[in-house]
Amino acid sequence: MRRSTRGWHMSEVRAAAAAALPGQRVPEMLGPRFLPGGAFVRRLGRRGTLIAGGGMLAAILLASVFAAQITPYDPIAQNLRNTLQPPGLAHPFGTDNFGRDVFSRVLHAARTDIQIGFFCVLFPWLLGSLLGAVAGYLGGLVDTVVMRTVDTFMAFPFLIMAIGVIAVLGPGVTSMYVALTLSGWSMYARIVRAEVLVARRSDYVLAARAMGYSDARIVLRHILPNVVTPTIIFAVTSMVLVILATVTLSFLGLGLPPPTPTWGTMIAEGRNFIFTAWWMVTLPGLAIVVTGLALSLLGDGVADLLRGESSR
Amino acid sequence: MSALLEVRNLTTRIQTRRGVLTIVDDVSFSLEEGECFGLVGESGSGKSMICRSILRLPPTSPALMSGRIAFEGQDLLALPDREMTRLCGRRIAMVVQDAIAALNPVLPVGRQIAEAMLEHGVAANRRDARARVLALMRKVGIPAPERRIDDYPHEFSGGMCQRVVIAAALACAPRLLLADEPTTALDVTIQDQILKLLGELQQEMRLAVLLVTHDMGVVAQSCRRVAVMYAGRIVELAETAALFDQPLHPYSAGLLSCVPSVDGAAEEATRLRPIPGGPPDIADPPEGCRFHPRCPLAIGACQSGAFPLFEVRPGRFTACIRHEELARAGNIWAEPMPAARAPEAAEAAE
Repeated sequence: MRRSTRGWHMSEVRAAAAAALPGQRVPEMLGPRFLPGGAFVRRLGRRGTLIAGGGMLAAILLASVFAAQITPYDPIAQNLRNTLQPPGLAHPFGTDNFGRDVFSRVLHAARTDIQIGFFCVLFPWLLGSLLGAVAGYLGGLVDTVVMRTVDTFMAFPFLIMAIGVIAVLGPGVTSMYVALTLSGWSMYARIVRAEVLVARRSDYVLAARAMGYSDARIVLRHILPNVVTPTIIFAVTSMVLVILATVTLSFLGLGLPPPTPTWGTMIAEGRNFIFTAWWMVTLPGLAIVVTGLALSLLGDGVADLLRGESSR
Repeated sequence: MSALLEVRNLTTRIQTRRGVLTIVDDVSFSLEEGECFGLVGESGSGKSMICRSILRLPPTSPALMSGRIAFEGQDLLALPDREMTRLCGRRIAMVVQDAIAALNPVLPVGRQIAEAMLEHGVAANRRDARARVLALMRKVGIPAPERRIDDYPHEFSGGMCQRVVIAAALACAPRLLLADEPTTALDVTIQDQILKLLGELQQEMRLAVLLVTHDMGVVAQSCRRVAVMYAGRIVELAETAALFDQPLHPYSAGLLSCVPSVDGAAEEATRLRPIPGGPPDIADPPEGCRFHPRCPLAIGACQSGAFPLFEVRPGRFTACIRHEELARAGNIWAEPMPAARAPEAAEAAE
């Protein structure tokens, strides 16, 4: 075992313990794994962000899936005799101006928000990777057209473009997918194209071409699996930004129409009551913060893991 | 015996930033069924490009190829793309130099061998393909194929990877195998094993092999006939034994004098003689015989004109007009070359 920068070498610990307690057997529980710098601690340190992020996200997902079991309240049922109740035993997050249970709404909103966020990462990833791969592999005119389109799309600020697209298509989940796919695909195309330019000169691609495989097979089976790692790293690390973007769009009223709860719309509705009913804005906001933290920890963890593998 | 592959006046050019370069210049040769034919030359002499031209896979497209490459009577250069991709892998297969790089790192080796069978319809389904892959892996000498079939390329050694690559190339029982320096990346003992394996497979499957190499020793071990290439042209073509016995081109003679001989007699005779200078810049090759700046036998007539191959005796071709002097002179590379000749060639190499 090498000396770790983070802690003592085990032998040093045991030597110190033996010196402090002469004649006594140093217990094995002072084993190297559980001490600072030990294998277990080091592994946890390396995977710590992954475990923490994954655990938090798993908890959030479970809470949103079992929302109906966790709280007895219907997220859209109004109760006008019970409006703007502060957090208490009956309503842990209080109620809003229509008397709806905020806790229930936060949990139900989690499902929608995370689902939208997930697909808003998945769709641009698929579209961008495919277009980038095709451009890089075929080169020539196709490459020029695709990459100049990428440049054009990249010239727009992310949110401005998404807002513009939704303004044209009208608010709703589908428009949100379209908008975020259009504003997000270009980065993936750029990453994949650069990787494909390297991979297509590789011997395994030459060997595949010599075998008479079709271009589609070569791109999908031989090149893409070898070049997706950087895009996955980018996807997981950008997931938190995408979720925040979808929340922002909902806040601006460009997402799902009321009364369906989403965190963005809840905050938007609550902002008129921010001085009288702070919980209406703060608690959904906190849910966003927690989810964002979970995703960003998870993203960093996954990215580290994949980077480690690809650099091997 | 009919020619399986007949290359006539093949010229391959590639487009680079420095302009159009002629990599393969008016090359003709033919391969008979089940024959092992060697193609030797230094790096950059165009031998790999011949392989890639046969498969129509030059590094830049569109292909700037002219001449005729007849395989089983069909002109490959005139064939539509669809027909060509049906031939590739099925009738003609290629083995490249760096076997580890030639395997897709994210697919298990068994899948990669099976892929060709499934794609070309040789195997009916996955189970059939798996059985065939196991048989093929056994045939190319991979021990315990049942345990190795699902392993990934990085779990194999270089020699084993080359065996996998050969197995993949032979998956559809091709008639012609283009072996582009199949042993260069391997150490000598493995090299010997791979050459023996290729020899056995060639006998067993009546496979014609175009063996590209820069190693005269490999040629001596494996090939019946050999063509020597220099700066994109074939300068000598002969039966291997005859060429080793009496080279009829100074360049071939030079290559032979670079081969270490184990059973060599006198120490002076076995000293290795590198050919002074370097190969010419293909963007600006010398006039006349391209070898004349480095040739100790060069005369005025060598410095201009065309130097096509001509037949000295049946089956014996050379491009050297002074081959008789060469035969008389014995070992022209025995005496150290005067240094004065070299600079021009050395400059060109830079």
